[in-house]
Parts: sequence; structure tokens; C-alpha cells
Amino acid sequence: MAAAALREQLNAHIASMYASGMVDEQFQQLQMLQDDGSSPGFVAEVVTLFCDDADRIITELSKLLEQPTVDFDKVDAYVHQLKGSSASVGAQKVKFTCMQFRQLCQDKNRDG
Amino acid sequence: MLEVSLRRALGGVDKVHSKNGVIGNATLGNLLHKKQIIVVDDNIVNLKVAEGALKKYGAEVTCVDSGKKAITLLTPPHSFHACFMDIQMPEMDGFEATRRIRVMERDLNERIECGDVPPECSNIQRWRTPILAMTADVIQATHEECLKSEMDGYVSKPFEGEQLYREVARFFQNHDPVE
Repeated sequence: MAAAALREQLNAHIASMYASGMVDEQFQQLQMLQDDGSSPGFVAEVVTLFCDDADRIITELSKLLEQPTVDFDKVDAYVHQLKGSSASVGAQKVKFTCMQFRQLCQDKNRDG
Repeated sequence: MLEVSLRRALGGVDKVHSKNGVIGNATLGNLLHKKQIIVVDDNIVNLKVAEGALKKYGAEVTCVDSGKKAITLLTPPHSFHACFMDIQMPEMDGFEATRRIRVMERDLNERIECGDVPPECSNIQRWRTPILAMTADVIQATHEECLKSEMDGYVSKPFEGEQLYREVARFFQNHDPVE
């Protein structure tokens, strides 16, 4: 009973993640890799890895952006990494933001 | 989506396997089953996702995070059947790593031709490990550029089922890595 309610809650939550555009079909691919039962916890493992890695990258980015002279090539390299991993997990909003950010890096515009 | 596209690609060949939800994976599974695959990417998240996708088809996957490590592992003789290589990596990109691997393979092939055969290669006439580029940016990895660095093709990142099947089928059906 409790398990069924939890599952329903999880499904509703996932549906809202799709509806809001937070995740895209790549996230569904991850779920399918896990769904045949051979690798339980795969999605959680990948998402945790993604969050830890994103955390590290964002820390590095804030350090770089605090410098008096911003090294935009370095900034761009970090944003490239974050774009790659967000595309892999289907974190669509993060991916789009990275793409915009890179465009601004190429314009070397700190205000962006 | 992966399963739908695979089913489409395979034209319903796998009716037997479409019970218990495992639709269409059988053929790609057969191609990749027990194959030793090396995946090279400096991004650990990409590495994990690629590993998961290939393992799903029964491949035995080894992950490395740099071109240099790939070169070490792909120095012949080795037991890998194929390699998926990221293009854009710091220090050494995928094209350069592939070029260096091909140089090593040619050296060994010349030795084999001269009859100077290391014991591990006694039943092999010619080494050439299939290497496929992985790229998020199709413009960057044009077919010509892959061929120039002696890669065997490319797949887009993140992995897409139908394309992965097409590329993998191309080299596992047409030429055996151990000829």
C-alpha cells in the first residue's frame, strides 16, 4: 500500500519534471537503461555523479568570475564540461543555460 | 524511445524477445554480447552513461578518462574488440590518440608480416581495432576528419539507439577485429 503510494508520488514528480522542461527525453533513456532490472539504482548513481560534478564546476566558475581579469577560455572550458554532462543526463534546462553562457563567453562579456 | 527506435530499425525481427518488455535489444545484444569495449571520455558523467548503455547490450566495458590512458590500453596486443572515443579532450584529443594507436598497430602488423610474431598474436594476421568517435557536435566530427585520423565512424553524444546499432553493426558484421 505504502509502496504503491510512494510510487505514484514518484511518477507524478517525474511527470512534472518533464512538464516543466527540466528534463528531456535523454532522462527517459536513463530510466530505460535501469528499467530492465539489471542495474537498479543506475539513474540515482548517474544523477548523483552529475550533481557532484556540477557542484565542483560551479565552484570553479565562481572563483574564475571573481578574478579582476576573467579568463574566459577557462570559463568556457568548464561550461563545456557542464554542458556535456547535462546533455548526458537529460538536464535540459542546465544544458540550455550552458549553451547561452558559452555564447556570452565567446563574446567575452562579463555582464552576461 | 531507444527501444522504439531499435524496434523500428530491426523491423520486428525480435518478436520472441518482445515478451517481458525486452523489445528489440536482442540483435544489438547479440552484436555486443561479451564484447570488450573501451570508452574514452574526460567527462565522468558521460563515461558513466555510455558505460550503462553498452552494458545493457551485454558488452564488457572499460572506462578511461584520457587519450593517453587509451593509448596505453590499446597498445597491441590487447583483448579489446572496439573503442568509443571522445573527440574533444584536454591534453590529447581523440583524433590524435587514434592516430597514435594506428601507428602502433602498423608497427606490429609490419612485424607480423616479417614473421616476427609475438606469441600472443600467433593467430592474428593484422591488427586494427575499430575506433568510433563520440561527439556532441556533428560539424566537428565530419566523416572526412574521422577517416583522416583513421577512425571508423562516429556516434552522437548522448548515445542514440538506432545510430549506435547502425555503427556497431557496420564493423562487427563486416570485419572481425581479429582477422
